[in-house]
Amino acid sequence: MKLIFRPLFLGIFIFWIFFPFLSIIIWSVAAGWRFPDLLPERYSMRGYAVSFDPNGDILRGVITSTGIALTVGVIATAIGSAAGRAIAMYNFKMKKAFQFLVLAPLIVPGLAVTMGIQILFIKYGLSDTVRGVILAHLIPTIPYVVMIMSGTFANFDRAYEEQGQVLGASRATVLRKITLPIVLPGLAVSFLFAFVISWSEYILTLLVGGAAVKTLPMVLFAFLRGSDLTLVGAASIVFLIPPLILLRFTSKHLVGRSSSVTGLGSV
Amino acid sequence: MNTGIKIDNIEKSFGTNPVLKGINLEVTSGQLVSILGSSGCGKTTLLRIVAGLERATSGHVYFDEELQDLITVEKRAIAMVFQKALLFPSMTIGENVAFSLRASKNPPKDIDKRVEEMLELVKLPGFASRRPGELSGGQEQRVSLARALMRNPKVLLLDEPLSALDANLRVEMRNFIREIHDSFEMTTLFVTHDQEEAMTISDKIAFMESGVLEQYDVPESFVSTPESRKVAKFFGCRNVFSGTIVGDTFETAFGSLALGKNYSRGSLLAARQEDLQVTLGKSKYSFEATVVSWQFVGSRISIQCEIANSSNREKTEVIVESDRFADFKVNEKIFISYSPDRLHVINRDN
Repeated sequence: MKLIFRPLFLGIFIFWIFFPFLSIIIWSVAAGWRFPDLLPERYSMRGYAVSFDPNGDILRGVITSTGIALTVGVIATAIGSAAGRAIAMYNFKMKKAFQFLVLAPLIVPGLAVTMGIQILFIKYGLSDTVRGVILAHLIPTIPYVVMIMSGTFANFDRAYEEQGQVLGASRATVLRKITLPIVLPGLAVSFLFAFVISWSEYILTLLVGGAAVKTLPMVLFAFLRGSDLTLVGAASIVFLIPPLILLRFTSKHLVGRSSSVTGLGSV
Repeated sequence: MNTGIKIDNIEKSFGTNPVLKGINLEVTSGQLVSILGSSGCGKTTLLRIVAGLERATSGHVYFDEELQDLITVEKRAIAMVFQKALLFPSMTIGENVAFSLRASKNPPKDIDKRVEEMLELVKLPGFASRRPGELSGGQEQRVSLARALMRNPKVLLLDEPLSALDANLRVEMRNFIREIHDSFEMTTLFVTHDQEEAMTISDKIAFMESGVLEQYDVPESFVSTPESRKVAKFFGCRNVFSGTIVGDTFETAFGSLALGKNYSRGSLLAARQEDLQVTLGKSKYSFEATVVSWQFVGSRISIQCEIANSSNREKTEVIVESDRFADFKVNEKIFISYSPDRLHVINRDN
């Protein structure tokens, strides 16, 4: 029985995860696909031609989104790592309150916060700007980085840093040559999370960026309303590629082979 | 001889908890001095203050008359080895050993050659390209030592570097540390809780207890002339009698004992169990005792006896260690003889 069930469940699982992708892949190359047909009658690369049109919205969306997500990834990882280290390694006044505040965006609906923030952003001229969108994207990303990095730093032995100091290394050298290599897996996973969250963020971008900042999800939504499913399919595939590339380079740190990332620890 | 390290009235508290209560210690340049004490006595904290990893609440640290208090850790002429080897996991053994050279402002050109020489010195030739995980505990600790020595420190600080190793390796490594110390021009502070370790390799021992420096002396003095009851007990003296000095004798509850030296003050007498002897008959320096029990301690026999007090109705317990394998019976009367110059009056009771 075991011999039958295992491949069966695995098959169902794979089907469950990948079937939606399958239909998107087919749509992206279909020139027309009507209801009773199992497969499209004709195929075309029109979807991809439009997607990769240098002057088209999709490619520009990819560029905007990549720029924003990379920046958000770097800033969120930097800020969140510092906060995560503080939570994991130091005791200070109001630590509980600090932890709550840092993690609050995970609980409080982002939409509610953004409504309030929008007024401030308009006041300071951040509304409808890329800078404003980046700032807004830090709200949902930093808490994840803090969670990952506080787990990483909880497993980090500060004695390594002291060992570096007593061998004559400055704080900067200790950070660069000793601490960063040890917590690198945590940083990689943090960056991946921050990138992916920023990459697929829609509501915050819509509210803060308005029509001015056209990230890929904004473009994709516009296409969805247009009901050209070939184009939506192709754009969706394009949408998937950057996170997959990033996952390819960070996945080894995700599957627990690395001792420094032990789940979302300590918070 | 100039002063290698001077620790001037160091006090340290963590919150309201005093850990060091005014430590004064002068270490002669070029010596290996052990800071000995049981866990929690403050010895590691003292070493961390010398290293600059911890800030003293008050007091000063000098290296060769130069005040260190405002010098940051990385600028002090030290190198330190901890209990754990702490080899940097992202680097090879060679890169670990070369760490201080690469971290310096002007890295020398012959790093590889110097690393190999240093690895040979710690008996690990050809290990440069290996990774930290591939080494045994003793090897890791030798790499850690090599990495510290590479900095060419004026002061080498060792914080229980052998505690994590197993017993045989510890004996081998402590002799090795002494050899290494002798082949470099440096002053070494060696923190340990192991009395034997400290006795074997040190020029002098600084014995600490509850944040106080109890005695600072050459190793043999801790056995022959302990300065306090705590020192006597820690170094294995099992007979400490209270009493008073009367001329050249010491009056205890069970009688008076002749002293070999003149003592002006002190209310405790230390008589080491191996300095006492069991004799069949009475002699000039002896007292009568009753056997309570006995047991073998290694190749010797430890006899627990009682002496009836002359001043009150209680009994005083005496331990004698003898290498004579005689058949003792419980309640048997024996004579315990002593030599007056082996008795030592302690002038501090704590």
